[in-house]
Amino acid sequence: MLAAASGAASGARSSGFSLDPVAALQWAVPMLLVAPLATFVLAVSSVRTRRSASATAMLGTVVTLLLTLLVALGLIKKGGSFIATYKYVTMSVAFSGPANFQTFSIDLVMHADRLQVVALLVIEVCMIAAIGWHQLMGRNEPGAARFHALLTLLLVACSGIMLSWDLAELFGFWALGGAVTYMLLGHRWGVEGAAARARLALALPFFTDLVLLSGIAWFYARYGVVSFNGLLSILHTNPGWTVRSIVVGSVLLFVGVAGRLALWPFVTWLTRTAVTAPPAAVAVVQSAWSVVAIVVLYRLDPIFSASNAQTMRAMLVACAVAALIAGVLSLFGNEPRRIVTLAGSAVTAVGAAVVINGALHKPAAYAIAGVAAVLAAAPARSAAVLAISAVAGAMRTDDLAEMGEAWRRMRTSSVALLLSALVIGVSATGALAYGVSSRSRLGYALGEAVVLLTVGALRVFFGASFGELRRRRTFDPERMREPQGALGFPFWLVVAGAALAVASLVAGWLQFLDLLKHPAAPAAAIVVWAALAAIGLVVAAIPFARGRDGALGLSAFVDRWLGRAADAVLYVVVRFLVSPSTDIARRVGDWIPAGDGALGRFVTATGDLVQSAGRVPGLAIVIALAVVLALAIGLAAPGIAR
Amino acid sequence: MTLIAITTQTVGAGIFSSAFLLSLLIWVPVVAAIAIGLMPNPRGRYDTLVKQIAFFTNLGTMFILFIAYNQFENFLPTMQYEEKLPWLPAIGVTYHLGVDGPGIAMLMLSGLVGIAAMLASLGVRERVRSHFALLLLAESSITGAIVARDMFVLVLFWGASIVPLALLILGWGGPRRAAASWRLIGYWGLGTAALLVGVLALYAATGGRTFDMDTLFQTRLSSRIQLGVSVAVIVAAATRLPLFPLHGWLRDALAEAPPGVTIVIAGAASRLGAFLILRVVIGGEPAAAHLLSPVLAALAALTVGYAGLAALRSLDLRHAGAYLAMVPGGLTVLGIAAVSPLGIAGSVLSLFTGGLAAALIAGVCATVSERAQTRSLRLLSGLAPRMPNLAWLMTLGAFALLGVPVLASFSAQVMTFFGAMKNQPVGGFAVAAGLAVVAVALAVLVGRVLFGAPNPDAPGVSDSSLGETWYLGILAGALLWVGVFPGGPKIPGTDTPLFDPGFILQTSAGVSDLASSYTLPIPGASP
Amino acid sequence: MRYAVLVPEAIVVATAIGILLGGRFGWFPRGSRAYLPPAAALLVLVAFGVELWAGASLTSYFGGALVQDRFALFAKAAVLLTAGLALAAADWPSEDSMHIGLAMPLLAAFGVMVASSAADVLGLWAGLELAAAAAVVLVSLRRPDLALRLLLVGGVASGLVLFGFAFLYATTGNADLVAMRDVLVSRAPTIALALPVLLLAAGLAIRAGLAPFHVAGLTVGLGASPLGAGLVMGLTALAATAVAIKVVAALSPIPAAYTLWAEVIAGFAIVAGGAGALAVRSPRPRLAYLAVGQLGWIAAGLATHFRSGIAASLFLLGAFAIAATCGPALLGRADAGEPAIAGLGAVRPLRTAGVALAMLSLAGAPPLAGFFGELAVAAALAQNGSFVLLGLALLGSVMSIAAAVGTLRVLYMQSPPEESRRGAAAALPVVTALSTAGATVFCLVIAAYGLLGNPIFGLADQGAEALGLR
Repeated sequence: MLAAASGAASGARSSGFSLDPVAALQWAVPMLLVAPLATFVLAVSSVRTRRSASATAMLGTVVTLLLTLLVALGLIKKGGSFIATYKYVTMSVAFSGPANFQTFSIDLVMHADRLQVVALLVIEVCMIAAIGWHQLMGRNEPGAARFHALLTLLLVACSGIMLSWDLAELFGFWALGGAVTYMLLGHRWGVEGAAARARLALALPFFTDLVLLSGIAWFYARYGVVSFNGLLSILHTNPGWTVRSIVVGSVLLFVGVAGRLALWPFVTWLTRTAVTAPPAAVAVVQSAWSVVAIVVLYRLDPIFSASNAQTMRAMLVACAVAALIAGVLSLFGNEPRRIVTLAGSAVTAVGAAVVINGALHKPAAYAIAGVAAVLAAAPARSAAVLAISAVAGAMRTDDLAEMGEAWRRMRTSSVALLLSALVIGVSATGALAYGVSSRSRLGYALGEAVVLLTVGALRVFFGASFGELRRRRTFDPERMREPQGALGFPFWLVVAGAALAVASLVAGWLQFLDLLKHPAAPAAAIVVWAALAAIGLVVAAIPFARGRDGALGLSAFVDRWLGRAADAVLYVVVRFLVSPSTDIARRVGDWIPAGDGALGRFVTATGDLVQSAGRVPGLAIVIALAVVLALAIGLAAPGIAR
Repeated sequence: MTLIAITTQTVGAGIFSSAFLLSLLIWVPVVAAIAIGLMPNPRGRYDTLVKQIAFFTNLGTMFILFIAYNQFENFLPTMQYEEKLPWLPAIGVTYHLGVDGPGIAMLMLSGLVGIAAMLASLGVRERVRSHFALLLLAESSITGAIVARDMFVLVLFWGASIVPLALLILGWGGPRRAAASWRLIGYWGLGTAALLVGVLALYAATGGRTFDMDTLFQTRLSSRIQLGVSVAVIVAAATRLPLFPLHGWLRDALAEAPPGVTIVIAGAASRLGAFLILRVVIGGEPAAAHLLSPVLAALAALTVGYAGLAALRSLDLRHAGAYLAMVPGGLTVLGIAAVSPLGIAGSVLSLFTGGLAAALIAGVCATVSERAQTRSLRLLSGLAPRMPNLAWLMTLGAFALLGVPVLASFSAQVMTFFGAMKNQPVGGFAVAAGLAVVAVALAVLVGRVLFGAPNPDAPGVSDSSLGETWYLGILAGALLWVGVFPGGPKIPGTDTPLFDPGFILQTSAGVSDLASSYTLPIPGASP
Repeated sequence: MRYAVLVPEAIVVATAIGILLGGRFGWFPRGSRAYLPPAAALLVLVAFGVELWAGASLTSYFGGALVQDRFALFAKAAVLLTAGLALAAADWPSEDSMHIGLAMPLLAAFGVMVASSAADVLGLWAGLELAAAAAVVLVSLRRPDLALRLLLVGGVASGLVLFGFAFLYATTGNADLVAMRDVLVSRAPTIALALPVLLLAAGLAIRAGLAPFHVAGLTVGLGASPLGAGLVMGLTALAATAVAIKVVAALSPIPAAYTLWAEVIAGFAIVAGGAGALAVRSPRPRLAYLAVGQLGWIAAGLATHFRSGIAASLFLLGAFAIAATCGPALLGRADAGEPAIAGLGAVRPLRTAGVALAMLSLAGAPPLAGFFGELAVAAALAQNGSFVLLGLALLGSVMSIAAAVGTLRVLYMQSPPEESRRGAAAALPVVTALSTAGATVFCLVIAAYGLLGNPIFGLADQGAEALGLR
């Protein structure tokens, strides 16, 4: 990759500086990986202070953003996608058998198309905003160098996943991103709550990552290839293929991706860490993973299509249920960042449902609309997290019931919160308008989900912005000020999200993303689905207008009961599954040494017996033994008496 | 062209060659051990010299090994650096040594672990001569077992590794060292007995003329005999690796041994178990391998799952580390159970990465408990801010167990799962589930010990010393190096390797040969 | 040249008698006594050299009563090396009488030489009794009561052996071993024939101290002086085993008569030896039980009753004799329980190394002499299909190795007691140039016996062949 980069660069130098974006793809695409990687190495090796760490991370991300724009320009001019393969490792494992199983190779297949580039741009924008916000708002966070280094490494992982055209390579970057995510969400060392909740951020997604690995392995074991092109071309032609095997593989891949997509119930790794992790980390992780995972899900569509309708319907139901439940859950509880996370998860689930629905109804090509929805929602999610974090920080509470008056005292953050909630609510409009009939059962379910998630997202705005901000111990509302300097970042994110949301309504944007023809969505459909967001706005506003405290009290009450129910379920799982199994392990661990000890005592006892024999009157014993043994064996030995 | 690319000589190639290179690797440490044992050391006057001799002996053998690794021809399926001398011709024993890809992987592992063990033992103050002499003897016996091509020689070195390691635990171990040592002798001794029974059964079945593997493995035996021999060998291997339920020695041995000995046991000595299955069952008894592969997969799944659950429930950091050190063995055995070329290749790589990962996690747990002055997980909490080096090393160890990319264990894990999903899908899923439990255990362990709230009642804490950082750093560094450059670093734009021809390429030599009995039939080909 | 073969016997007997008479009549001035052990050891080593040089020629003497074949060469070389090392490594101040202490091992060695080259049952019996008698004399110097016990038990053993021999003579009408085998080829192993053979085997087992017949001899070995213990545990057992091998060769046409007995006894001895060694802590009893275990391995080799098995037993017998005889001698006076040997490695490194190697070799730990012998026997057992016995034997070996490691820990990992606190019971063996040389050569022999074992094993194989085994 370096050679490609240097070669192209020197080529450019030799003929004076004339930058042809198409020719630049040769080195710009690899540089999308190399630039953040170099930043990471720099950050790890030589950066110590908070300011320099932040500046380094920002520089690396901005450079990557510029490179991404260059690649985007090149792709637009080229009018197609770009692919380059770099040999990483190839080994021969067999002399005989089918040719595709004789060697094993992991190549860096870098594939860049418009969708990937746009997705990368979204991630980079979110990351830049988060870094900028953290520069001022995260002054008190420990380990600045570590934090920023990890952020750049996450960018490496995201670029890698986006550019990967080989499932093994993709999983490599995917798992790297997973590890970095754990470190980011557990960034606050020495804080018990943070550490305890970060455990889930390692364990739960790691489980789904393993499922993804199993799915990839499942396909490799049957096809001998895991590159998208190679696999798709032989899915139904490779000797010995069966629909059943494709179904199993598809389900594994879907579950694997759903984990990082944070569909309910996998969303808990985000909801549990939403408060304890640094806000910038939460914002980046939520937006980056939703974008990355939805693009991968979209890439996997052809594989899902190769399975069967029943399987895809099951996936569709899973997405719809996830969207509904996440939407419902976002109505309860007064932890604002958790609510935003659930609302984001719901909109992601809607997008995923549209993507799967697109796979189900091939050759219909509206799956990309689902991706566009998530691309639009991602910056809004980041914006909401950053804005509410600013509010929570200033009000020194994570309980909506204790917040209030943000509209009066923290107008900028409050407006950012409102806009981001609205963008989250409308981001799925285009996807639904293109991909789902409002009269279908799926339409009803997803429509309800949109209403619910909009209500959820807006609750945060209403709860934080209105109502009396009461005096608390060590907190005087009069002395509260909106922190200056970092307020612009949520706004920029909201603007980006809004632009993407609007774009997602336009067929041309979808065509730009997947280079396929898309009929324009009927205006009526757009109005119907957008109306749902508006209904959400009204439904959210009414209770706060009538009695804010009552609404928040009710939501807290239900949340408590839901919490108890969840605890009860957890208790049952722990009581009847976890405890017995760990008990068995512990008992085995104790029993084996005990058994060994008993065996040792038995051997020693035998030895004592042998030893004590030496004290008996030897003569008589010896004579008796000689005679008895002679008789016994003489009579028993084969070939003598018998 | 490809051949030229593959055989391109690397830096170091050709500057050293020896007809008895493997013998040097075995016997130089023995000679050094004897010299150390005999040199006078009144009142510990020459302790430093003893340590230096032991360390530089290891460094020297590692240098020889590195040259051997560089000169290794990875396109040859046959044994290399072979040595063959008649030893006891009356019973068919030959002094036959040789290495193939898996062998070179194990040699590199034991070399690296050896140097790390020396660094980890620099803090030894009592009976320094005996400690380092025994450590060198243990290392040479492990090397001998790796390069043996004669079953008699294999059994000889396999058994010979027991006594020095047991004495090291007995002499320099923790409070429960006696029990740990007896368990090690008991389990490993019985494992050796099982191995001997299997080897002798093979010897008798092939006419009792020779112990040479070349002959023993080429003789066609009935499935019944193959099964008997393989079961004995698997029992022997299961006591070493260890596999559930023959892991009774592990917890005490790894928890009571001093760090240097812990990493030798967890890193090198125990990997011999998987190496044995690979060498004898996969290489020699294909029919039995096919029959027993589900059993192996089940053992792998049980081992990984049990290790995770036991570590989750453990209240002692070193016990948890010991249980976690079982995990890589389970993965290696899953690769073997796959009885597919890629699975076998994965298990070969996993021998190396698993050894390093097990040594790293067990070693770091030992060092953390020493530096924190307690092993109790009730007391250990929030150490990361106070011991950042060890915190990062422990995190790397945890990631290595889980197979996180850029660490070599990732490649091994991917190859293992890719290989296993055809023949052992259930086993593969079970091991994956077990790994998820391991992830939970690691999350709890790392979360509490490193990132949790500091415990004001805990004793004083200090970060690792230079020696400790280096010994753990070598293990982690090797994992990183092979993880980032599995095919070796190349001169940009060319296929010419720099000083490292590529670990994964070098160790794949002979794998095709090993796997030749397990390739899939070509679809449509006449049987 | 033909009679040069008898030179070793002549040297050994002459040295023994000379030392006895010289000691009895005070021919040796007090100042010169210190030179007696080196001189005796030197003479024995000369005899060993002559045996290796001249012993290769196959001849017979005294009308065929004694034959010089490869078996004789192996056994005589082994016993001479053993005796020489034992005399060199002994801790003389801990012996009760230097003259008798020097002479008796030589006479015992002579007994073994006679038995190993005997062509008929009379020679076998004579050699065995001579070796046993020497042990009784040496034991009696310190513990007359134990000597009496040994005498009585020996008498019983002798009676059983004589009864067996007499019956075999009566059955085959011949005392010559080769002729006896030729006659037995046409005989079936009836109960009438088997019973006396089994009693004969029991007699030999009593002499060798093989479990469960060790109850008679073991306590004697524990009570005797170091060299006396070596004689009882090592040389007498060597004599009895050499006789047993010759008898087995003669009975090879009717293996059914003794195979099962040998297997049962072997299995029992190996397990009991290992368990006993684990149970005791004092070094000498542990050595004794380890020796019992290794004797069991030798018996297991005899149970295979074919050439490779007997050759393996013979190979192991050499290793056994050296370790079992020299072990107690190297331990010297430091045999009063574990405290006596605590940290001995730090103060007497070479002797301690010898004791450690002796124990590990008797336990069958790799890569020492005993391991190679036991593995050779194991190979024979596998070829014979005796996997149950093999399993038991390996189990016993694991216990033995664990026991040996226990003593190694005390020798090397415990701190030695302060000199002021060392009582007579924990007195240190003296260090002389001879004892240092003896311990060094012993270590080299035990370490190199297997590693350079090809010629030794080849000779053992030829020895088995010389007995007419196929």
